[in-house]
Amino acid sequence: MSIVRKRRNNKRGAIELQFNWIFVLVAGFIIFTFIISIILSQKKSADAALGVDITNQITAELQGKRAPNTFYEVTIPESTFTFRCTKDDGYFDMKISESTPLPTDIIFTDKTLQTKKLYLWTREFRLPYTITTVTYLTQPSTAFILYNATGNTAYTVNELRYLDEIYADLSSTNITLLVANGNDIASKAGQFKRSHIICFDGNCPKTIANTNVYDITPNQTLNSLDAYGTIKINGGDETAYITKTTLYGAIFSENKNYYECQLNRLMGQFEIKRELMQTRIALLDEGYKKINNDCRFRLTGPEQSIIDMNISTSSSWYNNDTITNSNMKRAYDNTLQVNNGNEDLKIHSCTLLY
Amino acid sequence: MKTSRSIAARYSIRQKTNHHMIRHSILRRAQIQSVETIAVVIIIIILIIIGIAFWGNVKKSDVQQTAAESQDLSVVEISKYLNEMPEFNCYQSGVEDVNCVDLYKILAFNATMNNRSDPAAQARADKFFAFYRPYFKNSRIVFEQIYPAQSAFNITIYDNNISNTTTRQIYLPVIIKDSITGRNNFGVVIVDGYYRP
Repeated sequence: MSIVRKRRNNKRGAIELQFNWIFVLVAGFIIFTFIISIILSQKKSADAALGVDITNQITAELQGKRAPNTFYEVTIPESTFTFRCTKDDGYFDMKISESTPLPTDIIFTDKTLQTKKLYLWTREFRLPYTITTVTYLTQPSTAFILYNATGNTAYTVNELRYLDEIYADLSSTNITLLVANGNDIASKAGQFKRSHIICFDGNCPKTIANTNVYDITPNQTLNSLDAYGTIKINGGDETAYITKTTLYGAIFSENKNYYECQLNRLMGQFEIKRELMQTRIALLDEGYKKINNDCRFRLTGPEQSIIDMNISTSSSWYNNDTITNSNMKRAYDNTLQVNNGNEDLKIHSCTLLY
Repeated sequence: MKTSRSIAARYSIRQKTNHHMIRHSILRRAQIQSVETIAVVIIIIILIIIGIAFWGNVKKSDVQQTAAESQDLSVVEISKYLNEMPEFNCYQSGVEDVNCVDLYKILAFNATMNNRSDPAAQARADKFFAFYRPYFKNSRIVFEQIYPAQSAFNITIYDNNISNTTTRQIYLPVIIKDSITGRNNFGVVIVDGYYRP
């Protein structure tokens, strides 16, 4: 074989050898990329599956824990919860990895919770009959601080009584609860990621970082925290509450918008159940009429009070402007009338309204 | 001279022929090796595809099973709501009676939800349906009084039937209390869940 041909053959061999290596590298890279993409997609779906599991666990806890006036701790993998309530239409959802609608739940909470332990506290909302069970959601790193104003701006006897009442209610749970005054409020609030400071009648501490301030003004005539009144969140416009259930709802909410959205949804439920109660009373009246029973005359007063409790004329169950002082007053005043009517029915051995 | 030239010529030809044969066999071996490499790669790819298809089938049956369990849980969830709703439960001075439903509450719910006799009643029924649909979803809920037989009745308070469905059913035994006579009767609440297969 000539030298030229030998050299040519050697070159071809060298090129083929290099080509083999290039081929192996390219094929290996493609297979490697393929395996990595499978691993990444598996990781993504595992994260999504974990998010769904946590969501299912939380929604099961929320729907399962409807016994009122109870407190639960739920331990989960560290997750970030985002709650969204749209005031225009009452849409409410919770997002962990995916968004989950919660159309049947009334939950008062901060907008975002990042935690591995959730505190759930439930209370019944009654006006005066049971409307629904409401849930308050918080985390261990959020503290509730009762501000005890001292000195020139010291609280009145009634306000001290209200403080004691709130303290007694919240201390029946494991929610992080403190009492502070003007000297140590900043240092106590600074120990926690977030603080909700509860105060009365404008006697509130100055702005502190990472805190929400809830300035409560109960109705002065009735002198009861369980009646109705107004509350200002972070010094903004005041909003209304009715009964302690919604007062605590405001205290657990991060801002006025979220609180009012949930309260509108709650009052929408109230309106639905008010109409059902009104229909039931009409049917009881017909039933008593058939058997000529005098109990039907004792239903007239409560029936009118139930009708007068109407706070919404909307064609939809959700109405975004029910929260006014006059509505809360009217609802509460008629609640007392319905309660009196029920007591009267009890005395005369008639069918009770609730 | 002639002989040596012919011998040399023949040697040269033989050399050329041998060279061709060697080259030919080298090329053929190289070809075979290339084909082997390509075949191995193709077989590996086929095996990977078969593995993915098999895994996909297993996942699909998992998803179907999860969907079926989810449907069962959904009917149980609806039943749980029903059991807790103050719209139906019996109360005595604000205290709930367990497993008891109030007859007049059932009648009031039925009258509100299913009365579409005039536009105002229709609007009210639509409002109530929109409110209770997140609770009762795609289901049918029937209150049936069984005993005593002479006052037996069957009231469908909610029905959101959708076509092309399968159903899952739960029966909940309850006491149905007549508030006016004070009489307790036996009954069941039937929850039918409708699902697309």
